[in-house]
Amino acid sequence: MISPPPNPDGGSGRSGVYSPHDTTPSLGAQPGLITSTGGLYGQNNVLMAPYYHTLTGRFCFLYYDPNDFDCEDDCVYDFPMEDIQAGRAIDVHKVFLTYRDLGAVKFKLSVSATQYDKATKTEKVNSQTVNIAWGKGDKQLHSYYVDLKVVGERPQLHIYRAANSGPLSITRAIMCGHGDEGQQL
Amino acid sequence: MPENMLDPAATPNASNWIVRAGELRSRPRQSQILPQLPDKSQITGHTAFADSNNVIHTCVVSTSGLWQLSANWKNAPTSPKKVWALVQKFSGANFPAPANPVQFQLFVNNLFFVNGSPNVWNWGGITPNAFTIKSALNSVAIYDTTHGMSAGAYFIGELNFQVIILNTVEQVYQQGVQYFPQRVRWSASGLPYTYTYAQNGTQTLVGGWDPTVNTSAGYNDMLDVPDSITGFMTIGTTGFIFRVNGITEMTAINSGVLPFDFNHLWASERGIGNVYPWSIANYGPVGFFIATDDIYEVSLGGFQKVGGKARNAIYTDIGNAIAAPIASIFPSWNATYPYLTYQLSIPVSANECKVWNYFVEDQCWMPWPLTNFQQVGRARLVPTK
Repeated sequence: MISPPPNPDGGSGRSGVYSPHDTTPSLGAQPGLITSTGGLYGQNNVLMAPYYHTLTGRFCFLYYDPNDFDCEDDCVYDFPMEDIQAGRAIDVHKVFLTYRDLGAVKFKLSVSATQYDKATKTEKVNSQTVNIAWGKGDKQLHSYYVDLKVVGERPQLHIYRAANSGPLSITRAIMCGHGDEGQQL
Repeated sequence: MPENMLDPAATPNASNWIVRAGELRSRPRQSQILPQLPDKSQITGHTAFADSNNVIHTCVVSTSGLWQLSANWKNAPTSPKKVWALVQKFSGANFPAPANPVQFQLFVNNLFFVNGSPNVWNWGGITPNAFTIKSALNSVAIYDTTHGMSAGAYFIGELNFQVIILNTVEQVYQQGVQYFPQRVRWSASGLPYTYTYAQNGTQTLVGGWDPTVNTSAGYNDMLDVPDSITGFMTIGTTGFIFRVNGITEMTAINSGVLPFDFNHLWASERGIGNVYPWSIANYGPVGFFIATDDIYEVSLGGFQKVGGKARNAIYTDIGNAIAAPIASIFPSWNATYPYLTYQLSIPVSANECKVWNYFVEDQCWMPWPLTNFQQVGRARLVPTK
């Protein structure tokens, strides 16, 4: 049996040396002991920070729950542009993903690339977006292949997960394609 | 750096991700865990400590006083009165207290804190009762016991069994409250109190902050450097006093009249220092601070720049800041998620703050924009039950 915590309202409190592991009240009859005001067992550590909410004007404590990765806000990640060979268009036709299944999630994957038109001396951005949904929450690593076709220089992979769309975890992302389709210049 | 020159581990644009041992995850869900204080006053900091009965207190300082978390609060509480218990309100000229982020120091089962008022506040978690006349919350740093003049500060620390306050705010006899941004003041060894109390109600003057009463108390004005103190951290047996343009080592040499040796690493008008007063944070042998040119990690191995490829983006946010950034460092997010993180919250507009997280293990930064929130104190890992 765990002893009850000290009186949270202050004042008298519980007499004697307090320990959450005490099983019997001790030293209660010794008048010289000074008691604590309120207090806790010291369990359930939580990272929290004081914030001011600008709409309500209230001060409160927020925390980030590291057991729940279903972020309440949008998540955006742009991978670096792949500058494989200057002046050549790249043909990206597949994206290979490795992910950890933290639960059901929906997100968008897109690839963009800039294509230069030698005849008109203009350039345009080619892109293709794929909606993806996966997840059963088994916490294991899985593979996922996305078929698409984007042609251009400096192909770039983007991930966009809308707010409250589920927990997303990616451990590897690889774009597959051909780098010798044609010289642009 | 151009987007096509980045290494694969870097990103030209990202928001709301957490990096966990090489894994890229959507960041943890954020929610309110505890409501406002019953009197709706501004929260300026929180911490936890174990009192001499080994009872844990999770405390909150606000502009109105000191509060603690009640033991019997329920999840998703709506009534602040069931969550927070008042320890003691500030009174007189100390109310309302300055809204600066509070700096805490724990010393021998006691909580000490400073908030930019002329007080070093102390609470031991012990119930005032018939055996002592001591009140719950005490201003303990009376450096001039003859005239009852007290001192406080913006920063507090501990070294050589002595509580140290820096960038002090002091009552000066017949001159009101004055600021001493270059001053370091320390208590007597093991005795950061002005009075001790016996159970029979006897109050004894020990003068733990008055050098004329207890000679191991004292102060040092760093007049040979051109700037003000902006932070303090201890690593091992050395204290590092941060200034805007420099760092001063504070080394304990004895427990006598001059217990510390001060060595300025840079005394020039331009040098690596801690520019923003609340941006310094340390955990064990690792600390961080923001200088003018980069963000630095301090450890037993020396100083190391860590801004990396995120530096430009972080400094753009710092340049747009409407108030001073607030930094925290914490060893874990809860017991099951132990990843040392340095977190820097920058108020970039009236309705948005940008929280930059440096994941020490993965050595990378990730920004989390928060709309409609402004951080007002450091994030800390504290018990809630």
